[in-house]
Amino acid sequence: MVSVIRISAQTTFGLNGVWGITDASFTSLNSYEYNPSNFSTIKDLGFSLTYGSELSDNLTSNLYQISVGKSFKNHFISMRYTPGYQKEFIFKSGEAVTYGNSNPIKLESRFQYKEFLGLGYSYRFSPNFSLGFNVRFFNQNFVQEILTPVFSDTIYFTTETEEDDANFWKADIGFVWRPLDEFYLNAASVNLFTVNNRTNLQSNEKYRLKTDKALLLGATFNPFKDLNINLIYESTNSFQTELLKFVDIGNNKIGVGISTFHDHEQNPFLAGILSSAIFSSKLFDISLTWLNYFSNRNILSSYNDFAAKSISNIIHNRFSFDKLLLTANFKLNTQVEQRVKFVDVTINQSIYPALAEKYIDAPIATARVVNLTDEKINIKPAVLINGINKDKIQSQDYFIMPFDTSDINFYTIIPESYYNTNPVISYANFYLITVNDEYDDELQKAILINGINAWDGNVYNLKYFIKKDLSFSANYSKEILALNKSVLDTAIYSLVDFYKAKIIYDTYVKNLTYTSDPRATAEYVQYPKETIEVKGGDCDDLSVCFSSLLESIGIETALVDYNADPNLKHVSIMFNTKLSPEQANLITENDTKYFIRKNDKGIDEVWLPVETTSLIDFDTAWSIGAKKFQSEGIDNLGLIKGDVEIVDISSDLKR
Amino acid sequence: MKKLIFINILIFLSITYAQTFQIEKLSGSVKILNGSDNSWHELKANTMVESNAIISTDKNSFVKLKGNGKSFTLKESSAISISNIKQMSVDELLLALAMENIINTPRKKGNDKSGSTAVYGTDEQKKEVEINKLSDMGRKRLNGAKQLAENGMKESAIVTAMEVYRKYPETKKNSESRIYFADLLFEKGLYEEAHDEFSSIKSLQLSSSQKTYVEGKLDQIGKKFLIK
Repeated sequence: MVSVIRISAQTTFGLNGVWGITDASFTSLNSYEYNPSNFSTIKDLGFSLTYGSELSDNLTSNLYQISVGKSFKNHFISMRYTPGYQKEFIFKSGEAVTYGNSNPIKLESRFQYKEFLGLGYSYRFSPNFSLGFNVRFFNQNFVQEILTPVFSDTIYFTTETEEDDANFWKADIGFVWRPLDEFYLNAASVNLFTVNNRTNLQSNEKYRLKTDKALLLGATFNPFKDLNINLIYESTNSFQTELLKFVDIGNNKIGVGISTFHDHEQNPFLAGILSSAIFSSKLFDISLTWLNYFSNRNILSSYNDFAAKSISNIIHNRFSFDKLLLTANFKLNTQVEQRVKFVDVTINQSIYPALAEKYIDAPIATARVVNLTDEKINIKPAVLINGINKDKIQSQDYFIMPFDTSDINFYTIIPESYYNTNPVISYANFYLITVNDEYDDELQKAILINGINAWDGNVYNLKYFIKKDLSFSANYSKEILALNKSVLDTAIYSLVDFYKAKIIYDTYVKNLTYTSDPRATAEYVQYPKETIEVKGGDCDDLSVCFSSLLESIGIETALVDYNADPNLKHVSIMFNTKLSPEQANLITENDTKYFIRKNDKGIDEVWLPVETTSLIDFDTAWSIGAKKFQSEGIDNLGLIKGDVEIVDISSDLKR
Repeated sequence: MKKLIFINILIFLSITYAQTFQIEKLSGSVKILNGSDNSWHELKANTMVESNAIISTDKNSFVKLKGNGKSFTLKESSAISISNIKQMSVDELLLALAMENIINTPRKKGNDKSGSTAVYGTDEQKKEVEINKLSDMGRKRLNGAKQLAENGMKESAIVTAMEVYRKYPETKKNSESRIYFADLLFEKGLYEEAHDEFSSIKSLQLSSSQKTYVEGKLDQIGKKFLIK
């Protein structure tokens, strides 16, 4: 007579009623059976426990497993303690043995199988490919009572106990590949390595847990949102299929799963069904699973049947009973979950450190960003350019609607202390921040940082060069004016600005010569101080310098950009005499030598064009400048055709 | 220095017009103001004048110019810039009027810095010197503009007048010439521009006949708009 007095739970059949390889999978944490490759979707830290009951004649309840898993960037490690993964078979001889004067003896054999713990590791090579392994420790304890004859005056028998402990390790490897967003494939070994699965007694070999090598192939298909179809095939000719459906309840989900399986060691062909009800929230998931075998398990089995085939799975074998299992998973994420990610970043322009202020308004890069969540997200874009910034420079916030894609701009700040005269290739690190200072995504791009004298060719941006040395220019201009105080003191008051400009020009051009740009990838512009120190420059340098000298003492200037011929671009300046048109004849009777402009109050003022490359004297520079402006700007309608452009400096400097 | 001279020559060359005129005939007092000059010189016969020159005649004087296949006589008490003696298309006229609008738009607020970092000049000098308020040159330039129109260069006449109004603001009060050039705009079919000009003229001190004329023109333009 054989009686199974206690069974407990364990090749590819686990205790999860939800076992597909998906982002929402339960298996990623607690099932090395379904998931030998240790695939995980856990962002940070996860705990899991399974408690359940065997629905046999003698109801027994067990804590089946406690698991913990932790992610480190692309690494994931897990550990599972399985106190309830055990099964014990006890066989007793049907009748007592009585021999001679011995007491009646009943012999007992006990075969116990346990899985203690397992360790798993996986590495995510890409969002779509993960490779990993697991190692599990098993214990087998076989205790058999035997009769030993004792020879004395009479022969009698005593009972002795033969105990055989056989511990062993086994290890498997596998991978998960996601060729399509809605399709996962996984493959893994079954019993690839087993270490020391040998019994001490040869006679016990037939009882040990069978560890025949096999191959597991799995597939998960998501034809629609929240619908999973799962399949596992084991090369031992066993398989399992599952249909799993979730529905949204607020921010949570509930779902049901129906799974059926075929085990080559069990009957009937479809040996049973796993039915699950699931609740899933952001912080935890709970599943209630009922494992129902179609064959009647509450019957006595024979020792011969057991001894002939043994078992290969502790928790799932031909002697297993129906089970009701409650599994809880806790997702204790201390890390910020990625909510947004870059699609790409386009660098809009190389960096011109001289145009520092420009970058407050003009984005250096534009990124295409996608919201990965079902919530409206507030994004703080930030950028750190190596060699320019010490800290991340945060730009204005953006909102992106759920699952939407949007373009967002990145702005930077160039510190005044930056003074590298040579261009360098550097790297800009772009960040998307949604919570605190943690960033959701990072992307690095190469960026060209031009030298401090580089200019992008836009005349409008020469104002940054004019502004840079204003204090130097003010001192320089004041020194010149102080030396000519007597001239200014006797001048007509209305003409003071005119005379100031004339005196400064006549004085500072004495030592200057025209020199062309040193050819470089970007145009090269000298700061006013440099022009005066090196005693020369080209039209950009000289216009910047004279404008700065006048602006620094309160005389309004404007750059005049002549761009009709792209191969012969030229820049000069004009300045405001503050004279009214009626006063113009105080300086000239020639009305082609000045230009009337209205100030912000609508009052007409006389402006004089000056050709700053004419380094003879003020009168010559004025005459040449006026002729060119009258001809190209007025007579040829250049001001309306865009061939001649006036760029006011004063209003920008005030900002 | 050589380089500097070369650059200046280049700039001069780029701004020197091919449009030159020869003085064919002159009578009385005729003066010229060449491009770089700040004061007038007497003009003599058979002189070549460049486009950036201005010619001015006194009372009982005239000058006849010839060049570019054209002949142009500047009558007494008139002045003209040589560059204005040209035939323009209506498109060019429209561009020029648009340009005038841009030029006459007040600039955005600039710095309100005082003109001086130190105070120069005496109190006496701070009193503005007396300036000839309504420049005689403004009147002469308007006369010159009218003669352009009389010689078939109506587009150029309008552009010249607008330029004179800008450079000699007092001439804008001259209702007679304003009406004359507004009529030219109307004649050219530039009704919106003519309407703006007549509306502006309406705010001047007008004689009753001028007032009636201007209102009539505005009505006429209004009807043109309706027809359009």
